[in-house]
Amino acid sequence: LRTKQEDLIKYNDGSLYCELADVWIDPSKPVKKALITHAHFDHFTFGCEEYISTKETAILLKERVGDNIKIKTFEYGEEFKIKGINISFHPSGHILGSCQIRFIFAEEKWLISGDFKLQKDETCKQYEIVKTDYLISECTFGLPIFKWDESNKIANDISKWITNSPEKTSLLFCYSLGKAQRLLNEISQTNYKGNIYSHGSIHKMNNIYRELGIDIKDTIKIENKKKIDELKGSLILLPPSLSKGSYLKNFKNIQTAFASGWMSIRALRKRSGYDKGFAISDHADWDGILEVLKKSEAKNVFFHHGDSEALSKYLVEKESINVLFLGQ
Amino acid sequence: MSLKKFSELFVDLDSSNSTNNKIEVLKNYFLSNDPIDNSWAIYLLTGKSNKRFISGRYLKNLFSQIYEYPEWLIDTCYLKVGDSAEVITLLLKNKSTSRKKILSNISLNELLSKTIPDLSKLNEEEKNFKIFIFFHGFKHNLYFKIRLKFQ
Repeated sequence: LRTKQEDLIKYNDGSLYCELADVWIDPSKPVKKALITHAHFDHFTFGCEEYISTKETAILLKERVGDNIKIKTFEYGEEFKIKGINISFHPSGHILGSCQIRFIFAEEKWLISGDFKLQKDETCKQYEIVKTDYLISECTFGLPIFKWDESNKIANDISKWITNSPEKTSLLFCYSLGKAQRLLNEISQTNYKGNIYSHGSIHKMNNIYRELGIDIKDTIKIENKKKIDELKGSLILLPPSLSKGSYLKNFKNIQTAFASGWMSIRALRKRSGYDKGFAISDHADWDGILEVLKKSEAKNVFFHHGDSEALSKYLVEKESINVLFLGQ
Repeated sequence: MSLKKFSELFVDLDSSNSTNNKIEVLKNYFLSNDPIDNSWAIYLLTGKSNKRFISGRYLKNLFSQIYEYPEWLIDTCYLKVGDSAEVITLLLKNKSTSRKKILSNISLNELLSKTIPDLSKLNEEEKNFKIFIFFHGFKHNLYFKIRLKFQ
């Protein structure tokens, strides 16, 4: 019988930790050595002695944490060793630079999925199926009610939403890194050919994406919020933090929407206070999670991030997949 | 006018928090519809309801039986969504193989005064089969397979 003490990767202080390599994965507190799956704020922390990531994540991370961090980068698929453990990064399809992390020790393979999606996204590398013995998977959307529409359908809906209200400025709220760039890429392929403006935080990320060779439409940086009312028929991308507080009270001729997987549920859409919700996510839906679990051929699965109770029970009952809980 | 049009009306009403916008959407809808369907639209939008011919629980059980989903999983989805009809709709996105929606061109009047009340005249087997067809859309090559499932 396997005991929790034997697990190569465990929970420690709320984060994933590999004791043999003395390395943390997406730690929430400053540590000596941190492997970073991607550059979203909830996946890294300031003040680590050393960061290790893909090249793209390193560039995004420096933009967010500062230039003076110590960071080592590796290409996707390139194996490197930490204290005798073979480690490699593999595309996870979540955002630019995002990765799954594979550990191999004594012929035992462990894979941390990181945040991932299987859907088409021209702004980052497609998810790579990686075979493993142990899989630590995210399950943000681990219920069968989550089934994403194709992203070009959502982009067409957004295009119609803007063009059907030519007398209004359309404010689309979305995460600054990843979602905004994916939306820009998709919207530029629709019939909407009007101006697109973006908030400074999004504009900054757009420029990095372009520097890294990702083809996304030029946007005009919003310099003066007073002008927003005058930009009828245009689209403005803003970070969700601006939808709270008094920012929106300054404008009259606007319509608002939020782009997030949670917008597929009406109650959440209504509670969010936006006029409209577009259900597009950079996480896998139910089918996506199941597909990855099966194709990874993992004999043991752990869940990390999200509410995994229902998915775990389903896998045990219907798919005979062994779901475990990570040791401390 | 059609159920599809009413469904579009609902989406449009649901896509704005502005009362003026909603009034405009309703005005356009009422001007392009038959009086009898407009009456049904008002009836539904003001929260009135007919005698319930099929309960949420019945639909859930049937869904679970047809698609082999554990009932506890549907209940867990309900906790997240808070509405039985919406849960079934969202789950059907995972299951529906036919994009043809057989009821999309039916008038509200026909749907609410005939199609749904007529379900109560059917025996359980026939009723379940009919609801399945509503769930799934209609596809000829599936017809016999499905039929067998309900016998």
